[in-house]
Amino acid sequence: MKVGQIKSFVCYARKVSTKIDDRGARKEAYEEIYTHLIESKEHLMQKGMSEEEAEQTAILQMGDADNLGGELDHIHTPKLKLWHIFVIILILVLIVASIYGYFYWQLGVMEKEIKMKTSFENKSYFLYAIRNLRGII
Amino acid sequence: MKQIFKKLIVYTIILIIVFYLIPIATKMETPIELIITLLIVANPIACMGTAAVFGVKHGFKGYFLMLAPLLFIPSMYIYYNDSGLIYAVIYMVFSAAGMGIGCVLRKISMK
Repeated sequence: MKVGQIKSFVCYARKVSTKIDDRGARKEAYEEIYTHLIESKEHLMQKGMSEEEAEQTAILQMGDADNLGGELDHIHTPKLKLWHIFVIILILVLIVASIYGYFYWQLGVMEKEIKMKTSFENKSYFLYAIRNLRGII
Repeated sequence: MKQIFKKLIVYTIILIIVFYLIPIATKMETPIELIITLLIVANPIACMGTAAVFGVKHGFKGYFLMLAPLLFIPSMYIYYNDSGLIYAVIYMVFSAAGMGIGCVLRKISMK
């Protein structure tokens, strides 16, 4: 809080602005709410209210901070556009394809290994058989 | 807190459908290939997709990273076994990646 700022206004503006997700919008909303409260306080004081009374009324006129913050957050939430969905789907499809590609590649490596192993085993059995036959003959 | 729950409700429902209803829909006698497909492909894609959409709408939020693991852990004990615990961490990583993509899209669209 800066020197000379009204504490209750700062608290209210902070409470509202913290509900907004977007950082840029949060800062803007904070400043906008604070200046609006100051203006309405001055306006109420011109009407004949005391300073304290004008501060309280200005805040009351703004309404519940949580509700206002929620509404402002809703306004500043970007809408999901068609191209967002398209990009997200494209990335997901690429990931699925790469997962399947990896597993197929692994399967190919495994198949090759099995083939090599079986051919080696066949060869060794063949050599074993020949040696035995030689011994017999 | 209430606002956070409000934001998460849609994504929670989607993840509950993926984590709990799809295994039920495929019936209990699931072949091992289907279980692997669900664990390795369907669940991470659901995590990443929901996180990306959340990222576009709300930016990067740490609490969303906990949603997928928290929802997955009970389903792991129902449908799979303890060995599936590593997937909770994997889904968290996928959620983070998805939210990162969402944040990038959000920044691009806000320019």
